[in-house]
Amino acid sequence: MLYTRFLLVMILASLMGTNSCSQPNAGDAGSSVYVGSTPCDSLIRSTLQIPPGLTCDFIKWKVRLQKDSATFQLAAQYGESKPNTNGFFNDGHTILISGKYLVEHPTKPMENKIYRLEGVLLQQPVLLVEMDENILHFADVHNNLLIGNGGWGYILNKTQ
Amino acid sequence: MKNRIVLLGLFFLFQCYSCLAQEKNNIVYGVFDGRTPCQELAKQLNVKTGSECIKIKWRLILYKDSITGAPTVYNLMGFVYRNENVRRGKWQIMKGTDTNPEAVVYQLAHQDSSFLLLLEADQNILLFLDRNKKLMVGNKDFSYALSRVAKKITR
Repeated sequence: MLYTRFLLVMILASLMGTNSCSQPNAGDAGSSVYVGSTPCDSLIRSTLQIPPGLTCDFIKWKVRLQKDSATFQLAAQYGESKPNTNGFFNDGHTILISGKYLVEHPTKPMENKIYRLEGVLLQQPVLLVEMDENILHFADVHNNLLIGNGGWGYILNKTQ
Repeated sequence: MKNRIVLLGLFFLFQCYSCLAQEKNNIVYGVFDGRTPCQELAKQLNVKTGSECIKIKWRLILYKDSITGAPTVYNLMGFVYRNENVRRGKWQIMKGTDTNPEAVVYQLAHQDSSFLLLLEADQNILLFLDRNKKLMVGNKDFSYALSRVAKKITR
């Protein structure tokens, strides 16, 4: 009986292992994931259509760019900052948005590549300037970098 | 003996005059604040720190010569650089990162021979570079950025 149970557990474990191996790796070719925390100024607030009555001290981002299909998935967690932690009271609120993106190559005010994310739930496109292969910086419609504050900058850091 | 005391006095007077002259010609170019991860910058600054240090809150004040506009000195506050231990030194403008030879880079030198490199992303945003002049990569909570909080430059 014990031996049968052990065998069953081993079979299940090996199946789960196989399953997890067959899952598409988050960092697989053509996909990049960026994370970061930014302020929640009026431009970003309106872009994400965060209701005016809700407290938004800062935003935690996770953005996946699927380069082969030029699509993106974005998760933005926001809310009231919980003191002495890097999180929110009651985990805050989370917005999930997906859509397509375009790559632009402007000449002014800087020549860096810009990802222009467009989605149904975005009031206006999210513009991300590629500072290098690991760092993206939020910009406004005139391609000017958004200015952060003492707590957070408008940066996303590549994780995968 | 008296001569020695007079000479010493003159020396200190000269030193004070130099300091005052330097302060007098300096104007604030910008005040930049930000919070960065801790460990990597601690290494760059040769400061030993425990694993509990996960972030550093910075304030950087850059000064320029009031007449020539050339970079002069800086004050860096935060981390171990507090109260009487504010990190002070000279800064200069250099060119080039690992990917962009034309990029504007600020080098913040110090008498202990450690230095910091900051990329001028634009006039309001500075990004920390590592020793290889490559942008430092932060995490989900903190990035290696400083934002101008006073005298913001309109674009």
